[in-house]
Amino acid sequence: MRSNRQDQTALVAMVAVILLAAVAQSASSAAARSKREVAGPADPPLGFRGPAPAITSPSIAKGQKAGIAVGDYAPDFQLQPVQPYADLKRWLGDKAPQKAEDKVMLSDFVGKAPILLLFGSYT
Amino acid sequence: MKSLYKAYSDKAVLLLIYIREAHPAQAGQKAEDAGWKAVEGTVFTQPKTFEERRKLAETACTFWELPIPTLVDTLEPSIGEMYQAWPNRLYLIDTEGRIVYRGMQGPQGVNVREGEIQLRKLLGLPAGSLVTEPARRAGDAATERQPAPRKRP
Repeated sequence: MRSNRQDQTALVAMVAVILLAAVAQSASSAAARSKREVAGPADPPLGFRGPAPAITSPSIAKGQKAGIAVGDYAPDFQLQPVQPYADLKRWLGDKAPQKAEDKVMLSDFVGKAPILLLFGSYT
Repeated sequence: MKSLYKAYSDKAVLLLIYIREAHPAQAGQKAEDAGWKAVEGTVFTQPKTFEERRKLAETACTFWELPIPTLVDTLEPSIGEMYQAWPNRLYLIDTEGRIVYRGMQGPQGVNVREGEIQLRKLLGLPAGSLVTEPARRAGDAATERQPAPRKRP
């Protein structure tokens, strides 16, 4: 027959084991989380439209996955303006076109203000 | 679009991308035969070179007196095709470079008013005080160019 002291010791040992397991699991999760942060957010599976992963700087930098659906990074492009508009100078500063053949990049505007793109033609 | 530009050009970047013609005049058609598809001698046929498209874009911007910075799409690769934007379409991009609004592909679905509502949301402005007309459609050339209807005699 076990004494009360033995029962207490066994109980303390069980609690200690549970606590140790919880601490180990927490440390493992933190390590995995840290690894993900270093590697960047994983691509969501096809068809998944969850909350956008946080990014640290405003950019559509090279290598970012771009698309045309809501939530995607807008595909970057480089095009020639019809003329050197004052607006372009205001938004782009030194990067604004100086000559007729100079081009502007969409990514140069990103981070400065929201961008409204209207595609169309005369006809 | 002009009213939109006037109201928001200090808060947002507004850009018009001049893409492939939606209803070009026939190749070789003369200005006098092209009707509204000709402006001051320039016939709006489908351009075969970037320079031809650039010339059309210049003519259209002058004709419409457009203050909006207009960028000329390249023929190959075509940014309009990349964005599936022909014949016209609106996109709104946030300051992180993500698309937050994609309008319907025009001309029937393009709606400047809807674009304005989304822009105001993004700017954190109250929903009221819209400057665009309910039935106004972005880039709907027919809407922009049609003269006032003539009165019947």
